[in-house]
Amino acid sequence: MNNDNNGIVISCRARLARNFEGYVFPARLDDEGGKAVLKKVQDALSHGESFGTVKRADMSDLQAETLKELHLISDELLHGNKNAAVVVNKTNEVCIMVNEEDHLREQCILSGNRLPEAYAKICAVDDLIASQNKFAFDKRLGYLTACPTNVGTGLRASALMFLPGLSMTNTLAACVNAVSRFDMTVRGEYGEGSDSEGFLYQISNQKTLGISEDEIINSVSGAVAQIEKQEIAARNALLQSSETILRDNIMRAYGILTNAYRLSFKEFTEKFALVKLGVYYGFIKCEDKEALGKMLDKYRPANMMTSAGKIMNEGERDIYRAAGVASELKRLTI
Amino acid sequence: MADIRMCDECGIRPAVYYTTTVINGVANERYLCEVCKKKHGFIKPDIPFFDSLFEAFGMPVAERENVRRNDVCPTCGCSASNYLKTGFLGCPDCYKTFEKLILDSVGKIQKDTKHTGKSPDKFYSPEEAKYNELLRKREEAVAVEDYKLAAKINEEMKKLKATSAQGGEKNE
Repeated sequence: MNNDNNGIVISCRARLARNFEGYVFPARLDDEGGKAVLKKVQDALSHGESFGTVKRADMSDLQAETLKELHLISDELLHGNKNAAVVVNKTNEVCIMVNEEDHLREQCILSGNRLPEAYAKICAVDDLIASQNKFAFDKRLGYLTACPTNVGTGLRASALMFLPGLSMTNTLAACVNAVSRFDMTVRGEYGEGSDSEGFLYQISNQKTLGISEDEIINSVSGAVAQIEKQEIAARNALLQSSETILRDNIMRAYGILTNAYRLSFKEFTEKFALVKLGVYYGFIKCEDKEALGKMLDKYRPANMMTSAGKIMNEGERDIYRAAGVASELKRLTI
Repeated sequence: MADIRMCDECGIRPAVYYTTTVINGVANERYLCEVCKKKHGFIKPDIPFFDSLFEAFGMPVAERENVRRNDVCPTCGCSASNYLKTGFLGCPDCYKTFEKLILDSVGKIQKDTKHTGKSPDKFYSPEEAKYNELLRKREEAVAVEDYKLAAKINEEMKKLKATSAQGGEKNE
């Protein structure tokens, strides 16, 4: 088992909420104001690294859903201010949601537990925008945001974690309770608890005021590392207590993914989680774990249709997914 | 008074609704904010006396009665009652208009009511940021009457101040 690339911490994100002085928040912003806010960001980022803008109004439904599946935009952006837009760099690592709940949601998403690096990157972008604009800032309360739950640093640091061990051993609840004592919260991948198929969970800070950026980054990073340790311990316990059942479940899932004729995304998520666990245990050999990790996003409904270059109904998608997953898994695994 | 319960879905807004769901076979109590509730169409719980949990925890009852619900922000038109109901403000000036109301709820949902982090016009050096952090920790220690810890933090602050002063002299 290689714990350095164990796939437990899938990605991390540092997100800063910012608003420009002299403009009402997006929910009350008129057309002219919304356009002005977007222009401010584009002008500020016109120097240095190259960024592209996609306006919500210009997005097709498929494009919007594709970006949402990749966590680059939110529901609030899709259904809120009509001048909402997303400004992204070439690698998609730095992404700024404009006219969402706040004027700006500047975020940097990196793979693995690299929160300090993610924060440093987004902080540099924030400094660049701040050097040419005035943010709404109060000496006592810090950066002012549409909801006071984000006021202060405006920083939300989070990590997306794959936690089958803790889930299967029923120890996730204890883990959630432990981190909540340190002002952190655990929720499903898209903030929807009932949609946490595939054992994916997000860990993030709850408080943003009265605590410095470094403290937030360090505490979330520390909690994530701690949960990772717990997950490894749970996986070891699981192996010791029920290897036969575990191995059987994993190989059955592998069998279905490599042979099915149709495959819903829900079933794919569930079975794929077991296959990833099988790779971790060494039951299934995989040389390219990075490519394996990318499969989950690749076969999400909108992302799959975008890469296929065609719109498909659910039935067509399931057949297309089954063929793609089977051939890719056979190629990546032994 | 109890802390404000944050929304279990978004984790960033105060919960105003309650529901029960099943996650991985385990029944979970869920607290939701206005936005997430709308998204999924959950039903409002029976919370007697209060329009919302946010309103309930935002201010002591006696003071809450003194807040004029028709107070309106002159810049954006957001009303106090709208803020109490949704947890959202209309513009940066709302923070001045509803200062008392906001400080009261912020004091309960946040760690403190004093920003200790980055500022747009002044970038804290790592030493300054560390000093601010220690200052806050010392206040916390004093608040729980842990004077031993407060003294220890005080020593650390002195050392840090001395080190930065030396650094400053060298730079000069």
